[in-house]
Amino acid sequence: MWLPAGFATAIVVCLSLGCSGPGAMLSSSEGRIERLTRLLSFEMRREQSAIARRSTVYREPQLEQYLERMLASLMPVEAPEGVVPHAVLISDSGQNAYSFPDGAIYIHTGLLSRLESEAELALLLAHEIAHVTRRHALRELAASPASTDVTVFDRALSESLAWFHDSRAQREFHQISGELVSLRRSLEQEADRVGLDMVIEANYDPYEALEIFEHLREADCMGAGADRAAALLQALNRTDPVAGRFTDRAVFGEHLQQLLFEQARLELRHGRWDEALRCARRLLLGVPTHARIHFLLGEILMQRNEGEEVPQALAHYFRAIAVDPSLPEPHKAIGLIYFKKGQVRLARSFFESALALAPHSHDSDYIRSYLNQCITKIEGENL
Amino acid sequence: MKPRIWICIILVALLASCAHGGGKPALTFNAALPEGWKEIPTDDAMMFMTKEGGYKQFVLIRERPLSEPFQFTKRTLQPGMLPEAAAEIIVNEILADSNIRNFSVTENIPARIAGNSGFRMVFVYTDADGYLFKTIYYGFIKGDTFYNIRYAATQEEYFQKDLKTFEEVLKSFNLVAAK
Repeated sequence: MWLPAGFATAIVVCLSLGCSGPGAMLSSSEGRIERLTRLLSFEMRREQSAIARRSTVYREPQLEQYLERMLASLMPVEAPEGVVPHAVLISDSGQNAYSFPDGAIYIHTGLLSRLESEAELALLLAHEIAHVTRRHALRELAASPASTDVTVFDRALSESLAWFHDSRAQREFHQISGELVSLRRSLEQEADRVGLDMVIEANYDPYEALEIFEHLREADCMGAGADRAAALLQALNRTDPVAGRFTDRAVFGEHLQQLLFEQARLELRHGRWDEALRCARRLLLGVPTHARIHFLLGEILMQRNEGEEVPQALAHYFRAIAVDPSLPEPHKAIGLIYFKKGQVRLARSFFESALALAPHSHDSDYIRSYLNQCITKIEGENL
Repeated sequence: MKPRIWICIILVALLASCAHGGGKPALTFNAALPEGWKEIPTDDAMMFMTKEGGYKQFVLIRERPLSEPFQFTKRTLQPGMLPEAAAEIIVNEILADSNIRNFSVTENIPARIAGNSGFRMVFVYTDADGYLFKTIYYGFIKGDTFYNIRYAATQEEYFQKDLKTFEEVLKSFNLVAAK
């Protein structure tokens, strides 16, 4: 969980392809590690640009500051030169996190939304920091045959990117990928161990931190989560008892409030009802009287389109109005439920109140059209 | 025009890939091809027409079974769904497409299309190659079929120029054998 797949593939393919070219002109006195470092730097920038193009960065200054503070508290004193740990949140349902040699740690909001304590977050960040400070990317590169990388380095700097993706490159990659599996596994284990040490050093309770494996088990985004957790627990049990502080989960929940809300909306847009419900219900535990969360829950239940959930959705809409009578959306939502049931008099009153609260809302034309249909029906009944 | 651009525009325009094969199915709608425009043949249940190429302007009319899930969100439209709810699903599908950037809806209102209740949306977006498009998108559900009629053009140069032509196409649209 420390390099995006494309990046890892690219640098490995780099090293697996060998052929003559201007790269051979590189000074032989230039150290291999130096060259690989430059290659990594080049690939890193390219991959980060690609991520920026294809992803949506989640921005929330307060949460970002919180993550920066955590990174600073976990960072070992002697960090490699040029490494500046910083978190980049990607708005994505995926359960993924990865890091780059410059210290950039990318975390999907879908993963962050699953964490339940600051200790778990600390372990996640520390694991990624360990990949960076232990220069795992470089070590992986250095483990590849030295005979290939001089010319490959030159190709990586060329204008054409096509060779990265050609079938030969893929074939070569698959041939050597087996050899890399064990190396990667050992690097992951090292990041786990070093990360856990950082967590203990920062005075978190390691057992609380290890719960991350439990919470991510469903998606198993940390690889073989159960095995890794077991290995770390075993290592912990061999050492002197560690007494860290338990973190306040309510406070952690507050840090994630906005993110959970946005995540619930993202999952709703994608039709992933269970995930949307999980985020919204978790939010409601922390803030039971939040009108917008009740409205969101109502929306999720309605859009899930399971008939028996309409009364539940209705209850959430009414609760939203009770908490904040000035919120127009639940008025419209209740109006729609009655409208679909043919209870046009009731529907009319809710559409009217929605319009009165927000006469120029983006959906006011729709509400007016529903209202007109209600009035036409009511007038027909009165004749 | 580069082949990749054509692939992109078709993908963007379709929103979803059609799974069926075996030649073009019989369409259940009619629409007039404007003078000077050409219809690009496809195997899918659609009419794709353009005057100067898909990256300048195009009109796409498509019918799709409600049971067919959308490509990115996997959501489906439902019979009897309100037009506003259908529009929301379309918006969510576009938002979920990572090839589409800077997507923004500037209008979303109820509309009548060939006598059917539906919606009209206007939105802009940038595609994977950085081209800015403006689109008018009409949609409605009839029986178990979703019909959509859209006009898209590179915003600055072509949108206004062919807007009237699109309105003529829209007027000419009619269902011949509603499912």
